[in-house]
Amino acid sequence: MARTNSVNFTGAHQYPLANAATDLFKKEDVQQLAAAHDGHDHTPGNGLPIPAGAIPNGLITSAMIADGTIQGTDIANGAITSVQIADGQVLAADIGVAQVTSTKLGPDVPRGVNLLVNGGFEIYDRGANTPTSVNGGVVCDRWNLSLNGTSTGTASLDSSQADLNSAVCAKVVYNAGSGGSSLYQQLGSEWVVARGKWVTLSARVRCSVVGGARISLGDGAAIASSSTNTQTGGMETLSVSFFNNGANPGCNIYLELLQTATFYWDNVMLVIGQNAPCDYLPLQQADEKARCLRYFERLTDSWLATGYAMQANVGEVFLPYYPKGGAPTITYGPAIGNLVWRIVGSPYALTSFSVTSPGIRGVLINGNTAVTMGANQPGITFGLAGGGYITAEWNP
Amino acid sequence: MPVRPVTFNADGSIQAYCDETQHSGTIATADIKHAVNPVTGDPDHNLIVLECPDGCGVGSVWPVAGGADAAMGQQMFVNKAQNEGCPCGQVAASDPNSLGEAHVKLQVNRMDGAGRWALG
Repeated sequence: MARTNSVNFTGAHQYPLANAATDLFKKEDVQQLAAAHDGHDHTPGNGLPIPAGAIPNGLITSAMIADGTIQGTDIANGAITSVQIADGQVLAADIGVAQVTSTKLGPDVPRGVNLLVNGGFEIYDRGANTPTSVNGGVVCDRWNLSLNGTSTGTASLDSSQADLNSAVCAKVVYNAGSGGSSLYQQLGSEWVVARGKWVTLSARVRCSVVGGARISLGDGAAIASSSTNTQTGGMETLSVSFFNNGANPGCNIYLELLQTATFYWDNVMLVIGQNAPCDYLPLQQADEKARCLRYFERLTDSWLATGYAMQANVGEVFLPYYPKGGAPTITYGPAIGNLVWRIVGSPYALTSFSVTSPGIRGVLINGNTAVTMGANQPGITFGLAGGGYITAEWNP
Repeated sequence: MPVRPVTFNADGSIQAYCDETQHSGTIATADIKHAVNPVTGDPDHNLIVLECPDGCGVGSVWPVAGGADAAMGQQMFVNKAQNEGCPCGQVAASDPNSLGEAHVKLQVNRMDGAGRWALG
């Protein structure tokens, strides 16, 4: 056999290889092999490269890696977790435009104005606060009690169990019967603002029975419900999201009464977005009151409007009110006699009351009085006496 | 809520409730009246007056578009038009029920606009 040369040691470190017993042995062979061994560092021409299997697990540390040499492709997809990132080091520039969605936001981040009116039950614009025990009865502005079948209950406003940042909550003492019951707010045609969007409803509740309370919202065709309450010792937050596909014009919000229990409801919030839950964002009282006036107002001032005597004992005035969503129902009380015309002399009690063309911003009021005021007498004033009131109410 | 219809009885009367006073009772068909012009005495087909069935003196003037309760308010006008005809002369008591309802629906659309109609 002919002598050959090493193939993994080349160049200056290449050494001859004697393959057969008859090959001539030279002492220089050992010298060259020793020189190659002395320069052996696994670089090309200085021996085979180190295979991965020759390195024990856990032996390579970051000190062996030159700074700035690890490429993105060296890291497996999905391998880096938040623990590898120091707190406060992710900058706004690291987040793609429009990549943060509402589901990434915590409950304390405001999502916008409440789509419900009087979600905190703070506004009661109807005179004395009177508990209600009838189906459809008014609890406070924009909230009604629904009782069905043989179920009974009484709803009122309560200050002892109100949530934080709240003066009152809605209390319901309920006896479950054959029909489902709830507190509800009807959005009706005004639901159009959420068409084609996710909406999320949340509410605070304290219920004396675990599993007795739940919240739901639906558009008449579909309904979504939250989980039920899990404790009895204090307020907890229930939340549910619902996609409004826009196919149905109406929507109701239900604070459901599932079992015989005492309920305290507070701080109900409805927002655009798929967030669960979303903290209640209160409005300044003046703003909340103004929103309630779109639906209901109670006029109790002594003098409300001026007009004229269209006939000897018939007066006519235009009574303005806060703009409503449509023509409202006009109610007077406690009796017609509490409504008065004022002209020269003392107020004259009305003996009949009528309205003409109720509109969004006001109504023409007509009324008779037994006293002759004079035909086409200008400058009469319309007012209330003895606890009289007039209400204007429109609901979607 | 005003003096409001809760249930419509087969004889045309109404079970009514007044949240202000918490009074309830039956309002006879004859007492479900259109508002009248105080000068001419003509009934207004756009308005119905419900007085508290307790007789306490509270009264509510309901607009045909439904006011405080779209569905119940509109149904009250439909029932009255179907049972008695309409004082405007466009609907007679003998006309098909569908005509009375169509007439009220037109009134509703004129008062509050399309989309306010709450009956089927």
